[in-house]
Amino acid sequence: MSENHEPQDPDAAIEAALERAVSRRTLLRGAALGSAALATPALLAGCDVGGDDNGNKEAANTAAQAGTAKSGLTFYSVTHGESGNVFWAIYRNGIRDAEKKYGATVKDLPLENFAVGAYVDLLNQAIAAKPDGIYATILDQNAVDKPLRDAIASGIPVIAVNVPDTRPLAQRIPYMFYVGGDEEGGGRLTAQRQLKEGAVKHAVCIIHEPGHTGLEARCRGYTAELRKGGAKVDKLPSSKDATQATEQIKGFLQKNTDIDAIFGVGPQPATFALTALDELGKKGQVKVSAYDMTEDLLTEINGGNLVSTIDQQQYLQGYEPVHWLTLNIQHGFVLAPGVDMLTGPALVDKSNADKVAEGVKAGFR
Amino acid sequence: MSTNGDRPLVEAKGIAKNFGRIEALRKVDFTLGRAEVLGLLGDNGAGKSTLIKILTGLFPPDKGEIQWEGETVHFHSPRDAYEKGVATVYQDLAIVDLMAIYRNVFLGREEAITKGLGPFRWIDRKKAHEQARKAISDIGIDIRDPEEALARMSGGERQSIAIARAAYFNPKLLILDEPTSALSLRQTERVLKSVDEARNKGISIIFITHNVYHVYPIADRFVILSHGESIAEFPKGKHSRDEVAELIVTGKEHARKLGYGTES
Amino acid sequence: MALDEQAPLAEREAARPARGGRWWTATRGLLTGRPETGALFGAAVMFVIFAFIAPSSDTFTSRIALSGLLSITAELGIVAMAVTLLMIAGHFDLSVGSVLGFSSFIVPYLMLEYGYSIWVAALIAVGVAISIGLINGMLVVTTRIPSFIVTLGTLLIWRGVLLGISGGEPAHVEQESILFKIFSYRIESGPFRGYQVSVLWFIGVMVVLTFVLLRTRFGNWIFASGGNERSARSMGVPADRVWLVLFVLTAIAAFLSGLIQVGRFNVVEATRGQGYELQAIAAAVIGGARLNGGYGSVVGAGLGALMIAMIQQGLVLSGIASYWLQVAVGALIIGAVIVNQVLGRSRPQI
Repeated sequence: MSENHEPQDPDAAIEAALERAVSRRTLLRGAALGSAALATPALLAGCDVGGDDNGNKEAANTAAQAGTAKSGLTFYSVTHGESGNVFWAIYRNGIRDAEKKYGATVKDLPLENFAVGAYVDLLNQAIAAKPDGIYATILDQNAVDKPLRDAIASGIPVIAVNVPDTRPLAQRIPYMFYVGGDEEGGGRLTAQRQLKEGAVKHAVCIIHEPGHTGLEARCRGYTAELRKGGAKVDKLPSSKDATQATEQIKGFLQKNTDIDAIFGVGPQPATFALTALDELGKKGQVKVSAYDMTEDLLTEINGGNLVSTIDQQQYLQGYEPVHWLTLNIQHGFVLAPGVDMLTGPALVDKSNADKVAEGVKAGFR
Repeated sequence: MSTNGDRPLVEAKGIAKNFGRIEALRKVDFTLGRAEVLGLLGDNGAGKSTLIKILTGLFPPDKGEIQWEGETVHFHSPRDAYEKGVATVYQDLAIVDLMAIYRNVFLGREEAITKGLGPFRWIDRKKAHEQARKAISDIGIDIRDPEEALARMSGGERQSIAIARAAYFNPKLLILDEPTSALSLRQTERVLKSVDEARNKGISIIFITHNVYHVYPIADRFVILSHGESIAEFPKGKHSRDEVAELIVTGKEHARKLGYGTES
Repeated sequence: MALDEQAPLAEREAARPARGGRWWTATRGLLTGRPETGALFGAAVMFVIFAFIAPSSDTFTSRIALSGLLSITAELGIVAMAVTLLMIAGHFDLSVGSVLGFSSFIVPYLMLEYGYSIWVAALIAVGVAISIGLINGMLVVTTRIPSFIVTLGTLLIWRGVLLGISGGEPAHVEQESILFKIFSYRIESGPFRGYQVSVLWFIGVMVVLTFVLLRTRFGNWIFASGGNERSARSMGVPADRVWLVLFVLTAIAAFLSGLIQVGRFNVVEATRGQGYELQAIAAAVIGGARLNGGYGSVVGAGLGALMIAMIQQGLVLSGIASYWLQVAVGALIIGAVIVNQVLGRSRPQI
């Protein structure tokens, strides 16, 4: 994959991506997860491949190369990321690059049609293969609880990816850690960014798949954050169809003429909101934010129509488990208990849209 | 038609048909005159439906021949038979209950009620209504509204409409397969009236049934079918209804007593 | 009645209206005369209700709401009306949503990846839609597998192909074109400001398909193939050909709807059209189409689409969370089937 992006040195790009991951972890530390968490950045810094400019770099590289030489490690990625989905395509780019870097083999088992039962089957299939490590989305924490606990008990290290087990540490599946975004945090971050543009009196969160836990969490974070400042926040569940959603948004804006901020929880509702505003002649009068990354959204940000969007940096969700499983198996490295690796939310706005756009072109975002 | 007008419409001679080892028809002979109703009688399994299928061209006989207006014919397909002038009303009537009467009457032959130019043709509703009414009143039935769906009509009315449809396109031979078997007495009378009207139009009719009481009032002649053979052929009046009924049940032996089948 | 029977034909014709003189007979005739009458009354009642309950006085009847209503109706209706013909002929097409997405995606895709002009791209896309319709039809006709299953398969296949070639990425057209004006023009001034030209396409499709269904030989064949396939075949109706043509028609209708969206949004995302198949069938059923075939109405399907659009807009404008949309549409479908059954019992007619 990376051979196609000649202008950019793949390694350099990975390092840049890792740097951002580290900064996310710093953010997480800021969220005060307790003293255990405070211990981890140092550890992380020490282990990151080429992450810092101190002497550890060489040691880490040596370790990695040693891994490459004798590796043959086989990991399974079991996710609900159906092939063909652009979000997961970038996740897979992360996997492929990490495979090369660490000489490991990753078997990718994506769930093509969302069904918890089928997902558990996939997971059992992966466990039965007795791989050196598994990374899995905790699609349904009750359903995957037993298979994953059994796998861990039998000595297979497990990392949760993209969707965590949301139970308290004592009850959750004892995986190494979680690599993924924080949806609710993404919603909060969006609200904070919109407030920088000016006061918000009445906002609406548009959700195109009502009932989707991740999307609802984005909405929840956004709503909670804005309500702190006394704003009124509505939720508009919309159709997935372009025309129907656009007309629903237009209807809503017509009924609620005082709307001054809109949060579309994915690229589609945000794009439809922009069309609706355009057709109502209100473009530029309302602060609009999106979630996730597409080239269009970046164009809209640069054009000043969109305030912000959120990047989950899912490349890292594919890359980091390979890195960490390798280190864990070869050297026994672990993170402190209860510490997760948050790859998002990373805010994208006018200040960094151009830079991020390069990553999109290169397949890292 | 004019040249052979004096010949019977159909003469069937020695028709036989096997399906594997099953002899469906062994030897069937009968004659059908012009504008005549022939009651083709037989118990279940006598071979009635096989005979119809041969007459309508669904499959050829293994032995024997069919003469049509004095000439030997081979029907290779239902289309062949239809073009010669054979129309059939099957037991299932081939009607569509949810469709209006006029749509049913002209189903598959919509050319009769369309107008327009070249490929751009559409149904002339007025004409369609008129023609449907005419077709149906020709066989002695009055309908309330040609737009009405067949599902709303009684069994006898539906049977009559199916007969009207078959008769409308001026066939020479109309085959009716058990047209009255599922009907009440009153409904049966209605159907018999339609058959009579069709005969008045000059159409020859083969009326297939296992119930002599239904066909007796209308038929001019009878053929009795038993175990794949035509065991007796006689004009109306020669035997009483009850005698005919007994003949159907008792078969060949009884027929011999009455003097049939001695030539073979 | 007795008099009628003896009167000559022409007189009987002339005497007919007199029999409907009593108002009840007339009303019942109106109520039960056509499959879409239930939907017509339903739509009218629904309109009044929403106009009444949408609080800030005139929102539901405002220009913006009405134009929005009609934009949704037009796109859904075009697909639903074609699907209705197929349903009358006794078959389903569950693949319309995927075909809508796939065929309309091809337009910007061919322009971006291969540099085709918009006209060539659109022409190829029409060809693709026709081919997909033919494939659906051929599979149904040759294998005799129920169309429900066949098109469930092609629903997944074409969505999969779309995801495959797009990688999940949306495709864009940044181009002004007469083609888009023809399909997606929005009136920018005057009394019809905000209305889309798609409404005219909707009306056009409705008129043509209604004419075909009710006034042509082919329409007769549609009713017959779905009403009783055996009877139709024994009367010489080429049922297979009827189905093939109708599968192609639904695919073309899906493409037309898709093209309208391309012109308006200038983008096609990989999920475009998802869920459309069920909305289209819902509209057809609300409009009086029988699930087993043989009965239904093009105008009814259009009204069904209008009702679904009204519920969508009405709920938003009434301040009711559109979570309730599914509840309302679900109830509407069941209610419509019950009403149609009751009306149909008194006089099913085509």
